[in-house]
Amino acid sequence: MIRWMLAAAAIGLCGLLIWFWPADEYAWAVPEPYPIPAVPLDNPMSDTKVELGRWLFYDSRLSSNDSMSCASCHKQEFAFTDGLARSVGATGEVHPRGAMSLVNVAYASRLNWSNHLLDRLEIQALTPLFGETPIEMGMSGREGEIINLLRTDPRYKRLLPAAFPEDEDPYSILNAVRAMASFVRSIVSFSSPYDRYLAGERSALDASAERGMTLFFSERFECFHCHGGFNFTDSSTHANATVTSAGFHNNGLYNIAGTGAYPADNTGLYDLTGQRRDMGRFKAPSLRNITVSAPYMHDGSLTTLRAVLAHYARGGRLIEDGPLAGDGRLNPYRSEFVQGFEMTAEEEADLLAFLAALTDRSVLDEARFSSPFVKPGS
Amino acid sequence: MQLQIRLIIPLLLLATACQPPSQPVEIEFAVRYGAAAINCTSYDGEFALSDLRLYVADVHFLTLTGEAVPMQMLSRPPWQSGQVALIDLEDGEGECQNGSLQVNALINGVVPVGEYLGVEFTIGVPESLNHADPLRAQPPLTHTAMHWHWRSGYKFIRAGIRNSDDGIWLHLGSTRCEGVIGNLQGCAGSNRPQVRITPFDFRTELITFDLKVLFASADLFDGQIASCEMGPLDTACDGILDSLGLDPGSGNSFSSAAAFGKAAKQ
Repeated sequence: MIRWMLAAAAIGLCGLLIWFWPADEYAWAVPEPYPIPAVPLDNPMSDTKVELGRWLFYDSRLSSNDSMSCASCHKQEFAFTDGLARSVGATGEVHPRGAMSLVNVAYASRLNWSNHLLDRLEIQALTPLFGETPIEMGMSGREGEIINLLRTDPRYKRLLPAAFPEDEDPYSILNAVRAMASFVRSIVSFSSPYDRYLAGERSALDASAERGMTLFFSERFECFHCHGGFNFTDSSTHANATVTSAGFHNNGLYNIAGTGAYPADNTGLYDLTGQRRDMGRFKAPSLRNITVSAPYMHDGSLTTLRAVLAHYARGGRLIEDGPLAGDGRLNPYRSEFVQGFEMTAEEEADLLAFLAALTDRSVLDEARFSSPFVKPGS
Repeated sequence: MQLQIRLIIPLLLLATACQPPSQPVEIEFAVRYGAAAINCTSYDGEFALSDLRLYVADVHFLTLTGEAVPMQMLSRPPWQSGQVALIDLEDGEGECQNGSLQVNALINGVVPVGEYLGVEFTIGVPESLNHADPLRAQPPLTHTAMHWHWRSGYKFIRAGIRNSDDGIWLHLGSTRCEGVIGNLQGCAGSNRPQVRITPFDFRTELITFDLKVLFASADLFDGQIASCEMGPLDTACDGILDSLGLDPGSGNSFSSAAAFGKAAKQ
């Protein structure tokens, strides 16, 4: 009898647990064995937030002259970069650096090319929206206009209370950036030929790409020290991470007049720390989808992946004349991992084949990441 | 019971007596270019104002013996919380692009009744508030123009002057910070100017911020809009920080900011 009662109680408890389990549990499109991203406790993922964030991400009314949205610099077909060496803001001002890919940015431990202080997309979103030097979307001092848009647009009037039901007044910059961050976090990609190869589909990589993979992870080429892990960057974390890596590296791109200096508008971490040793230190970006996100480096100064490989093979870039002249290989702040290597033509082709195998067509094509303002087929 | 009342009443009286009566005080700010007033739309003094907003905290009144008595800042949204005030002397017109229409020249507080010879205060946002989550900040820390998302703190001063292609502007804030936003371990460069004006009578005088002094070290007529935004290579910063009594190397205050003074109220 007692045994029956205990069993009934256990079943009842399980039923209660299921009843109270959050119904809006977000389903990450992350296959085994990859970990799910770490998400700030105060902004859990939900489908409604992702939907709202997608509209906001593609809404050009979030710029001072209605000319650009987040997507203007983060275009899906270019793995959410813009194909430019340096991005251009709403007023035509050219940014010192190029737009970074947003694919798998949910796993980034630090955001931007060179800011060790920024680890949350909710805060990062404020820089393109409100930054002034350079002007990106140009909304500095115009937060009232954004809140007004949220309050009056029929779609936002519906979606904001639905996404933030606990808020008495959900029409805030806080909730707008929470939703945008949720959408951007949803852009995950683990369906490249390389991922399929790891999952057991041996034919996903051809012999050349397979050889390239071996070279990529070799001590001879050293690529993986900075571009390591499942996301091919050492600026990486996830929900179960015990260690967060947040690397910044000087890869010998410049060495102006032999002083170690980088161009004044692109000094890397040095701009924030003022420490000479941080000169030219930038984040190693994820290499996923790297073939579609040219040009390369923080300032887009290398136009092809062949040029990138040649740069690393030499162990730094030589600029022979002009105001930026100097031998990057001799930059005193250069990373110890940029040592240079001998590379045959076949090895170069193999490495390029491996890098191409990191491209996930699905994330470039999937409708759920595309502009909701554009009707399919139009 | 009766014994208790007998004890409590004198104690209460004593407590009230120990709490000195307080008086309201009000500090007014004005911006100058040399001796002349300057605003966003007129070029009388060679330049028009292009921005002028700053945070003030830790206000003290100085007694005749030089003792610094803390002023209790009143909560007056959206310009003042109990800890920090925003002085905003631009009106969004003319050269003050992307400014705010509202202005605020006053700080309100209370001090114990007494005679005071001067005033001192800090320019900037107190450390505990400077690196908190800006998305959850309360006025006057809610302005997107004042938050420095890139440097994970606030702009303590936004100031600028402009006339056509000539001019200069300043964004002052803490530098060389470590940690991540919301959980900052601190900044090696505080860059909070200290201002001490004595003698100063808040009833008849106001605090002036002289942009001619602030930008005295810059070549203002070279056909370029120069700027200091606290980067280590910003050569325009050194002279500007000096006029604010800040050592560019350490970010520490070495004297009262020379760009601040006083004038008689009109």
